[in-house]
Amino acid sequence: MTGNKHSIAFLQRLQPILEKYVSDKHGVKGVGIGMNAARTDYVFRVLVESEEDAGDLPKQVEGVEVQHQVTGPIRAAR
Amino acid sequence: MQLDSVINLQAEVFQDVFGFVEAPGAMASAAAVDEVASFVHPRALDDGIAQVQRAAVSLEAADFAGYSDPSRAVAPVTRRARGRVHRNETDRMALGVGHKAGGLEDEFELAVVYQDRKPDYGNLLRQIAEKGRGEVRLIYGGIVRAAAPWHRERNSTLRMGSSIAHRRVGAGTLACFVKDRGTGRVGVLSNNHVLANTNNAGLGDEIRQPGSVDGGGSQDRMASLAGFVPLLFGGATNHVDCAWATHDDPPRGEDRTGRYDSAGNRVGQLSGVLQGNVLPGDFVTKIGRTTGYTQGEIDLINVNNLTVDMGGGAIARFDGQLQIKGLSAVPFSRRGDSGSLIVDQNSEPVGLLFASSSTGGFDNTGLTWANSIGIVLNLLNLEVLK
Repeated sequence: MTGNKHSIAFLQRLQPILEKYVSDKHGVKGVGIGMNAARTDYVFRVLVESEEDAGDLPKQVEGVEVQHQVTGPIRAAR
Repeated sequence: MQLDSVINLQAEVFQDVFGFVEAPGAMASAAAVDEVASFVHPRALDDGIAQVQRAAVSLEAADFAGYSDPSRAVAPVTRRARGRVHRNETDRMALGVGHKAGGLEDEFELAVVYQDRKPDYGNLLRQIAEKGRGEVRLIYGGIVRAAAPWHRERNSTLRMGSSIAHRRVGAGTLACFVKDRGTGRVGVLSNNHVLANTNNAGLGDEIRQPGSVDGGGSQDRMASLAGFVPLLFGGATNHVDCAWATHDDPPRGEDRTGRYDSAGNRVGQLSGVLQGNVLPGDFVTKIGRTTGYTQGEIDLINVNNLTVDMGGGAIARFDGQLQIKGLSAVPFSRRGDSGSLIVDQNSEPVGLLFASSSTGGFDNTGLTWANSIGIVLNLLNLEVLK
């Protein structure tokens, strides 16, 4: 998206670093790339099962904001 | 009987046997078109319930009989005091006017359609018959239920979004019609956990439309499992949850490009597969067996290390997934929508729905995850038919 401070390609290069840091933390369900609420920049979003699982997540990586999102259990949709 | 006489008899039965009263003014508007009175139970008037359901007060007047009067011939509704509206005797009967069986063209009779094979309201039926002096026909109609939307029923012409499943799986969704790039064989696409029973199926296994939870049986076999990408467990990385099945002979009709909402209205036509990348914020839609046509937005791309319960606590890990959130209080997906094709604003396929949560997203209605459709098609060596 034009006007964004960071590019998706930049975030994709950083993503493995964040994933390695959070992957073993309890309740982490995944890591993805989204947009901030103002839709002005791309951010990392760490998916967590409950709010309690978001306690010690980093706030940013290399200047890219890290948000968290509570998903509850994720199940195959059958 | 003359038509007017039967209509009068119908009114008498509603009033004298059911204990209903004539619906006033606006409540009767649905019936007023035909200049036929409409009847409801008196308490329905008090509660104002009939006003919001006035369209039902003609032949289905008995729908309101749950609010019955113990002084009348119908049974008292003692259970309503528990806070729920329960079906009563008159809930299970409808009155209509029809041509007299075996009669002349201008001979009519009152028809009583009842829902129970062995009704415990035989006394009520007798009262109606006596009132009609033999000019009444009793018709066993069976239980009347709201019709299921097309995507949960057997499709004589198959559509994207309809219920489909391996014979041992309840139900998932038919994503789209596909063709094998090598052999040219034609079939349908969905998830491994829908068509291949989460790796527990063999090639050639029976695929039903609709799935068994939607009433599908062996007579609804429409395809045979043709291929799937095995799901990996134990921490190994998956990119897709996909399978496909080839049509059995004789094939049913199919609408390969039409996209329809739950009411059967055409909402779009499938286009080619998106060649570029989908981005956060992109508008998407899907048609699924459970929630039908819904609209959403790409919330996240490149979702890695996504851990999904594939059933029975078996956890599979996925990389490179799309996350979608709904745009309204209606969930973008629910159980049974697995296999739905997700398309962008140009009706170009972008994803294959496979997982969901019941929390998160817009209004906490849950989130949805999908495989990249390009990877699905490459791994199965398929192309989308359009």
